[in-house]
Amino acid sequence: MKELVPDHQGMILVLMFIVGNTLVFPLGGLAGPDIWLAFLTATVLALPIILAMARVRSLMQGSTFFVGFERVLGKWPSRILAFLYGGFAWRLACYVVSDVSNFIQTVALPTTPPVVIATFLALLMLWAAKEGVEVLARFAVMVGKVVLAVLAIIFVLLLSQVDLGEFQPVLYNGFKPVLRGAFQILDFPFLETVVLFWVFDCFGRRVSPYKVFLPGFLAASLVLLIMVSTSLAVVGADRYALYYYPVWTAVGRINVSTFLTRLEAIVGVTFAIGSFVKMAVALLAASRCFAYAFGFSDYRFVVTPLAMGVIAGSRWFITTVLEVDQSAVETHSPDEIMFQVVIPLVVWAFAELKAKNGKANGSSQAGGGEEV
Amino acid sequence: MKRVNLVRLTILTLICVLLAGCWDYIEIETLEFVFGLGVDRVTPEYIVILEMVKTSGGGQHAQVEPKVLSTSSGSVSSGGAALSNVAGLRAFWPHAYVFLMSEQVAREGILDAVEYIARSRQVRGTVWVFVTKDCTVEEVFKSKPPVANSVSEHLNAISLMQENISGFIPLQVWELNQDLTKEGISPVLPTIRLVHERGELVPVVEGTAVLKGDRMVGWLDGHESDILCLLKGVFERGFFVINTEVGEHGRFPITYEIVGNQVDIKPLVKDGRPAAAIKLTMQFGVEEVGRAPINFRDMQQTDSVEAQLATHFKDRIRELLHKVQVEFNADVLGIGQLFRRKQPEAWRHFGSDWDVYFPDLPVELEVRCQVVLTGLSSAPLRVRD
Amino acid sequence: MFFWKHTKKGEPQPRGLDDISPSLRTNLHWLKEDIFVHDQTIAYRGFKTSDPHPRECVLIYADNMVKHEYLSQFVLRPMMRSSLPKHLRGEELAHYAAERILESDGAEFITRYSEIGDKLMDGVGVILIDGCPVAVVVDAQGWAKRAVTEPPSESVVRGPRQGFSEDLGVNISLVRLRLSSPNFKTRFLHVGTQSKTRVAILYLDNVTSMELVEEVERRIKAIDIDAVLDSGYIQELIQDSPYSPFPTIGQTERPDVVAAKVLEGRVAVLVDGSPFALTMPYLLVEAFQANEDYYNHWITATFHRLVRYISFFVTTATPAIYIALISYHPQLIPTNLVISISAARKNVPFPGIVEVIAMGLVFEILREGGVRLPRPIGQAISIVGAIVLGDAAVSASLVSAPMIIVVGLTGVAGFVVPSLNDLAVLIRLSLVLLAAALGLYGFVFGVIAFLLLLSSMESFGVPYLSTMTTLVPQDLKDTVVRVPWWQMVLRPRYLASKDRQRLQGQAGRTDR
Repeated sequence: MKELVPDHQGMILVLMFIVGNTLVFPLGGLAGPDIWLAFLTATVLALPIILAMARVRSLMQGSTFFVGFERVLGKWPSRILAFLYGGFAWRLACYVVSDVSNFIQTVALPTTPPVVIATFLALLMLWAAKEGVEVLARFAVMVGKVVLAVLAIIFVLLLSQVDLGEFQPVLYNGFKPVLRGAFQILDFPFLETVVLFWVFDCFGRRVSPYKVFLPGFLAASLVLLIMVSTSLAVVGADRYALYYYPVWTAVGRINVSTFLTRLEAIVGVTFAIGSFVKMAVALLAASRCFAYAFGFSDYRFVVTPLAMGVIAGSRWFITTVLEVDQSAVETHSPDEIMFQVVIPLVVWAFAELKAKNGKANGSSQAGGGEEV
Repeated sequence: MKRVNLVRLTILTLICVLLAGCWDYIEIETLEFVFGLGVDRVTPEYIVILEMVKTSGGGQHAQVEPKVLSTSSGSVSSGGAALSNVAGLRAFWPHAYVFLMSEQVAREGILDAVEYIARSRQVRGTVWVFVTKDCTVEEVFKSKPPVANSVSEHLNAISLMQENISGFIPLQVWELNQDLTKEGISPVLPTIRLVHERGELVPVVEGTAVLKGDRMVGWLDGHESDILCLLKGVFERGFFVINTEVGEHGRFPITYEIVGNQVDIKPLVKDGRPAAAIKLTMQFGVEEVGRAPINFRDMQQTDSVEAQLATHFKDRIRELLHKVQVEFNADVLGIGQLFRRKQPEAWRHFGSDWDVYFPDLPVELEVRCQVVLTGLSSAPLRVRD
Repeated sequence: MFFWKHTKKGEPQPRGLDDISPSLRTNLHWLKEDIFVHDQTIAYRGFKTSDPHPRECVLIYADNMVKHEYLSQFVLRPMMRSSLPKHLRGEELAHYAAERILESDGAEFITRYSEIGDKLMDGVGVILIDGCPVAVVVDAQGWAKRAVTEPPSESVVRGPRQGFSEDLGVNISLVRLRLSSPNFKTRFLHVGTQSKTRVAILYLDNVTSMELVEEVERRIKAIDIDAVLDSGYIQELIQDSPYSPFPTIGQTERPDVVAAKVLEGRVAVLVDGSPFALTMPYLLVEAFQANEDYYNHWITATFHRLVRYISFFVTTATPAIYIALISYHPQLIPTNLVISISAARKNVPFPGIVEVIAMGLVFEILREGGVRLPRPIGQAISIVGAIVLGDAAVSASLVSAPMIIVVGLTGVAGFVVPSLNDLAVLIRLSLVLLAAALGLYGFVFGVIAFLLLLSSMESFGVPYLSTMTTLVPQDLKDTVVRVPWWQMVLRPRYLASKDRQRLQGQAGRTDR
């Protein structure tokens, strides 16, 4: 069963995956007023890995994902990798679910147990993951239009509150905080994009992976840069990192002639919808990886147990908003570097080698890849 | 297979809904809306005052009746909770308009009182903050504004109309938070006092409380607040009655209205010491000239008026600067912050000793005044017999 | 059947039980005692051709389904006044009669009893001639028909006022009038073991993708049901995502709409006896399009479309948002409003959620009560609903006034998008329940669920949200906006039409 996502829908899926869940958090707070620099640095640093992923997918063009992957790495290594990434994606799904449930608990429903919200989310993402990546991409476009429109409106309304002086002085504490902020942003959300690598089954053309990953990533980076900088300029560089949800706080200040006011709920709603895309993608990736790792061709039967696991996992990894902050904003664990940087680059190297050998030998394998 | 799952999913969701039990469900009519809150004393115990409104009357004739309750408690939030008990309804904070502190609280440090407001999910960042002068918070809440239903609504209306009322700088709690957090700026808060009006006490917002850190160090009156307003770049349509010399005819009181002001404060480093240059440009409209025989088509007369205005405001600004620099040593204009932003290297050097440098910070002052509007006529009514 | 059709002349087949016998007596016996036994609506008019060689004949028809004058004037009279030459034998008799005597415009030959049965119910006359094993069928359809009137369900201010009626032939002719091209094709099928309903598939040969036509035909052919009384049967039997409340097949009573859809590369299905044509594939955007959009100025049309989208949101979401706000997030309502809502609810004995559901139910009862009644009584019901239930309920503090506004707004907005109105109730109710459980976030979960449902749906292989999930400018030209005609150069991509060009370049406009 081939699931083919049109390029523009795939692009929006990438965009929503990166933007959705990140929106409200104090991204790059360590960089202080130099947050925009941190964003640019992170974008530049992330580009090679994004490009490497696109390149690998492009080299695999013609075969479905796992077939191509197996050809590059061999059967057992790719299964082991799939297993590891399945775990990584599943944990990501848990994180996102707990981000959302803790957010809702903090800002709106303090006495509702977060596990109830996690259950709702798990049921929905279970459904979404079962429908597959095509449906998910369509969903992402529908939702993406709404989310981007809301962000645009919020941006315009916030403009009157923006104090550009908050970005001064530039580099007061040197480049170190900028780098620290950039690594924060790289870790969450930029390089979490590796999960998306496992989600697309096949692409329309050889250039499609570039058309999906590159504009998607750059657009997401731009959207986040704008939103984050705006909210920093509104809440103040000194307070930005102290708030759990600076965008939420910033939007609370919008007041247009005492009528357009109290708009935070819009941010909350947008955040919940955007996050949903991310968690569904993560669950889908986890299911696909696990199903493949254990040698099943259809992943759908794994979805339900994994989704149920997410309910438990979301309460297990992170229990309160304090820890959300820790995990989302501060941690750099070695496993994240492994999953987000090292392995993608290694896979890329293997793929290049394979492609070169294939060309040199004129082997039927590579030739077979071209046809479809 | 797919259908069965859909059905299962729906059933599960339904069960979820039914089991969810609506933990945070409230009925809106059981809420008592807190419009204003205040703290009269922090030590030894907090005295918390709430102005709540009671709604009644059903659909067609909704009535709102304010009630003032006060209690003493260990903190602001626990005081609020205790007052729910007194009121018999749940105190609901997010619709609060104002937060008041007494002079005593301000002098002892506002952080104790304001911290809850800044942190709380319940109280919004857009609450107006005031300091009461020569009266307690409770007295203010119990006064009778002539038009509005409640004192809080009255104060909210005044704050929104600041542009037209002048004499104070309104401040929302999130701005206060920022000013408290930032380096090199001292917060200022508007003050409330009570005046007698036909036998009733009416709250009036006028003047400014100047803070250093989070402690109040002194007052500015309404006129000084107007000047502060201009220097902070806050627009207000203040009316100034200034005795203006009109040619050889002598001095006449003429009323001017500000229609625009631009301020530019430049931090400078002179001879290794910090300094500042303030450039203020103002546009005026002439509201009333009374008996002054002045014709604004006459450029000479206009120039002379503009020069007199500039001198007048220069003097007033000097007075204000002297007060905040020498008397209070409170950087209300945020010159320190500007240093940090525009001259970070200099700030690295002076920053830690800003308190020492600020009182005798040399300030170059340039004031330009322009008359741009004179109503519908250029000259006063001519009276002939 | 409107044309001459010659039965194939070949070697005489071995006679079976179903074959018409040359003997008139035997034939009548079979018909009266077996096929139409106890059926008194079938008339048998016996007569003889004139001298010199009178032959016994019978004209058979179903009472009230034929035009009696027509039969007597153009069938009976010529037959009785002329004579059949003596040398004619067997089939020749029938052919002679058809070619030389009968004055009706259609004549067909049939050789089986079962065919006689089928034909008679179409309102024809069947002539049996003694000695001839072939029956002549003459067209004389004349049952009661409704005139072509403006369809009540889709009236327009600007646009043609013709609507379909129950007669398939008339309906096809109404569409054909608008597409007088030889490329306009009609395929006929018969559905229903008892009803034998004629179903027509309409498409444009040079535009519509053949796979689509084949698929529609395949699905209709696969139907095995006793009777099809309305196109609704077919709709439900062949549509995709049958469990979803959203329609995946369009319906319309207007020939101009059918013509427009066919021109875009869709397939239309007309069913005999139903004034509702089906169009497929059907996408969600179509629910928000109206034929008037294309007749009015494009700016007006775009604005009206926007209103429709907003109305659909209002009708599905308002009660849920209201419940979420007053029960979970009173902090998000502007202060003045929250005070007046709170005051209005002071003496109401029911919790907000009960109020919403009860009032919603009352509205649906009033609507359902009024919908099938004659107009004057229907109005009485709305007056009772509005004044007695609405006003009095507020005065008696049974419901709060804001709730009446919410329910009223919801109801009125629902009528703006009529094709989705019925399912809007369902969406509304589920969203209200979710909002009552988790506030705005419950509402959002509901919205996510519905969006997922919509994303997963397809109609005849086309994703249900096609034009909404694309970023290709050409495909967005007829969605929320309706761009001017001169810019709609191409047909929609998702229909995979053979010929995508609609306008030849910018030929539509020369003045600029």
